[in-house]
Amino acid sequence: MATDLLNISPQLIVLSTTVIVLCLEMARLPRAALWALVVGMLTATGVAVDMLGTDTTAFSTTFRVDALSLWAVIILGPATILFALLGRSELKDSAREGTIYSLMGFSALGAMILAGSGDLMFIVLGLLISTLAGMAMAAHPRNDPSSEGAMKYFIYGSVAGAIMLFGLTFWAGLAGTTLISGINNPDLSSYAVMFGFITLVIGIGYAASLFPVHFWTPDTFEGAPVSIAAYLSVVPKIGALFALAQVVRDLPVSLVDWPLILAVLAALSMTFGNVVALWQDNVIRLLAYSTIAQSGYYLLGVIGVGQSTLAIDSMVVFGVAYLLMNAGAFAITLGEGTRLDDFKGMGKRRPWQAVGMTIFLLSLVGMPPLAGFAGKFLLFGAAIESGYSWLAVVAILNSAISLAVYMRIVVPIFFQEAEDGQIRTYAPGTSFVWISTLALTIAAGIGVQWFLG
Amino acid sequence: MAPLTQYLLLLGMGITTAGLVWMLYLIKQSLGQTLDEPGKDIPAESGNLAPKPAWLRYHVHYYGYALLFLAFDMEMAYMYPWAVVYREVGILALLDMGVFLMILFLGLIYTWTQLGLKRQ
Repeated sequence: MATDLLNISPQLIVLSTTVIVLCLEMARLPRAALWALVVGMLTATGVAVDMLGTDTTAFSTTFRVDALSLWAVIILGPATILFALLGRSELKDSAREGTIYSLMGFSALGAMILAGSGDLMFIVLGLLISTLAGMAMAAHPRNDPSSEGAMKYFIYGSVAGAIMLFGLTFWAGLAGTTLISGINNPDLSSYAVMFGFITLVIGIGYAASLFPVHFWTPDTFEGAPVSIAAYLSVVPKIGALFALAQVVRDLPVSLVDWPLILAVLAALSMTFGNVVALWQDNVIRLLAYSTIAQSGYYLLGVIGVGQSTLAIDSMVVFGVAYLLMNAGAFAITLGEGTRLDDFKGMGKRRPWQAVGMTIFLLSLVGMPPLAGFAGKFLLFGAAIESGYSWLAVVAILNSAISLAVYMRIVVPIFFQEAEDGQIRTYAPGTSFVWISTLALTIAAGIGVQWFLG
Repeated sequence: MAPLTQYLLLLGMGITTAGLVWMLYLIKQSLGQTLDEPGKDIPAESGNLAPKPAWLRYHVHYYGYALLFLAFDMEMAYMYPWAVVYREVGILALLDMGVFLMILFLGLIYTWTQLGLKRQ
């Protein structure tokens, strides 16, 4: 019992931090709540860094303490801090400001539980915690677009969750246990296992905004505050994809050809996200479709699990890179405005921010030597090592399409004159986020390449 | 009883029900013509015209309480399995439930601070 609690100490720290944040919000001290969240998340990240290398389980093997779950804490802890700072810039002095920080903490906790799940119930629980908190955050402004977006997020979530639960009962019934390792038995009925896996992909794909269940993404992001959209595009997605990796680790390919199912989904997600993003006039919607495409790339790492030595590394590196570049791009969008027209003439008005946005977008495309390149390089490597070269080719072609998508933002920045209108200002939190993520995007890209030789 | 006989019974029941409805329709037809008059479409209110339209929107004042009640009522379900193992596990079970109830209670206090318990 005591060792179990020690093994999940990062998650426990996140939980207690969030509870403290909630108490401070009750005392109407949003500023203190923000600082408590920052300190708590940094502590949890530090503890997780210290525990790196452990590979064990807690609570009768229902929770896995391994590279995936520890790295999830190391990525999502700082992620929550970055998005809370963005939230402070955007929602300062609004009603229930501190509740947002608390909900961010709860949602991150759900994603961390997902990333370490060794039991089907943990997947259900983590998915519920991370997405229900996200729904409440998306509805924060209490106006029509945000309510509509949150409602779509909720309805998609409840339907996808119900389908997933229905399918997972098949797994539990077949294996006689809810442990994920129970499914690692080649004697089980292939069709029933496949049915369970497909419903699981629906539930997880909803949180990760994968192609067939992505429809909520653009509307929810457009209605929600920019900082919340940024949060929803990163935290639940990383948790859900790590959970998928935990499941496929134990799923025999002889029962379900899961790499093929995931490969088809990845190809559809990438292509759909990039092609539809070409028509968007709203930067938030454009970035929303881009996150659908990015989760398609992310699946390449999951496909490599168990077949490629690069799989876990690639998922972690791309997770870090995706967090940095997405947080940066959303931060600058928060500073400039959400219409493409708001970016016109930004190159003259704010040269530093303009260069920063261009670097974030090029990193999303996967240009060397930025962090996005390092992540995608490893992901493509994992796919090729697992025998999915055609998927790597599709992914590279999609990167070329995505260049056109992101150029739609870069062109107004440098080659169009500004419209007359009020100039928006950057809050200190926003400036901190974009400058730090910019430095880290460049540093992480160069660092990983140096590290790989 | 063989399954086929059961289904035949079910079919017979369906036919009988449909036949009864059809009979009633035939009886009504045989009693004479009906006239369509505008007064027949008005809801019967003992001879008076309805003062207000029937399609009103009204606020469900208690929905906050209802949601809270549902949330806490559902959580109570966890106490049954807990009560089963309580004697076996002992004081540890009490601590576990204490942590669970504390977090749950925090939700109630949060609702209170957000004026969710105010009478509307």
